[in-house]
Amino acid sequence: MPIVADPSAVATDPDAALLADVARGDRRAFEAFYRRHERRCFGFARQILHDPSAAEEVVVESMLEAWRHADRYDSRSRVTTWLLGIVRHKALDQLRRSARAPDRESVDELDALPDPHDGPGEQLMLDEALRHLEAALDRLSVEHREVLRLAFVEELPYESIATVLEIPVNTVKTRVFHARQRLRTALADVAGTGPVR
Amino acid sequence: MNEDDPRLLLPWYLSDTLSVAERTRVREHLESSRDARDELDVLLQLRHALQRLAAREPSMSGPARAELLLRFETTVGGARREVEAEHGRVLRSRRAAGERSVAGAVASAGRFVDTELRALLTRPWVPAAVAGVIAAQFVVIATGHYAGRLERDAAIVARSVDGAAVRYRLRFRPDAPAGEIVATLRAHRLRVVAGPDATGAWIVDARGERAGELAATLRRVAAVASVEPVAE
Repeated sequence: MPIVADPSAVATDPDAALLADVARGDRRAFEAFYRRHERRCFGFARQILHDPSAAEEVVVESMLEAWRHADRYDSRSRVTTWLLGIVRHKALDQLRRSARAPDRESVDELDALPDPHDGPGEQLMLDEALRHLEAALDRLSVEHREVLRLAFVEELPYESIATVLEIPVNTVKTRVFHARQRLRTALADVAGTGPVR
Repeated sequence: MNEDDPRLLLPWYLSDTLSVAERTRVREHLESSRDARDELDVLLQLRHALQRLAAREPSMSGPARAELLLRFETTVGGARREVEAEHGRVLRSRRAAGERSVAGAVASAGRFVDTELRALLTRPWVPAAVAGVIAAQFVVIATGHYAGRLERDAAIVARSVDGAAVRYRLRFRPDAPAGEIVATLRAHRLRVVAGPDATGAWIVDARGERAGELAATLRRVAAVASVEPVAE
């Protein structure tokens, strides 16, 4: 049964402490660990796969993998980063197996997104804008979708994103930049307004 | 675009995950560039929209959660059974070693009595020594008995694991909460063999005297959609 490798990480990182308990086969700790990371992992897997049941499968496999290989967690990165790396590997494996290639590139405009604080009636506009955004994201490549999620939803430091995606930090920075441009184009396309900038 | 361009750091300026030096560089750039400030506004909206979108994403379904918890328990349980089996092997080897040591001690005592009895009988400490030998032998026998009892306990555990099972195909309602699914499986001591498959069916083994009558009981459980026995 695995045992978490680095005791110093356990002392400083609550996630690492939880992972240590998980490694000892503590079911409650596993539930707590799972609840803490489920949404993040599921959202990330779903973003890559575009298939909720495949994403669920990936999360189940990833959580079990996290338990089995808890001894490989070495505290050089945060537990979240380590876990998202596992999820990404599983999701990409799943994507290759299912031979799905949703790598359509895209286009649109972020300035069209309304601010929800603008006033009454904005909710409908927001719903519409979010639908557009979702459709635009669907048109992006997996690489662009995942890097946008890690940067803007998970708000991971670029070093952590580089760890999850296994790419150099400078590639992370330029990839986010290009993903934003692709998204802008995709949004304009989806909204039928044409690229604004 | 140059890799040192401060605009590349704007997303992490927003999430406040830059170093002090990087943050200062970005701030100076923002102060000097209207375009950079506009770009930052757009990024703020993008972040807000992506986070709103993420917040609307559905959670994992109850059956998927239940599968995860059960597979964790099954895997941990498997690892524990391996430890118990190893413990049983250690007990058996210790017991065998104990029996060999008892036999050796008895043989030595016999030789000792045969050769030295006459001389010993004439000495004043003989009664205490005899009592000591008897007490030592008693301890060795009792230890062997304890080891045997542990071994018998391990055998009982093994028999309960290896007992005959009745196999069922079990489907839960799609909206059944994970906790209810896990509770049902636990309450009836069902061992998950496989599942859930694409149709949501689990293959489970029931053990015990009333395993064959379990289908009727399970059909009355609110979370259960259907249950039918299957051949192994």
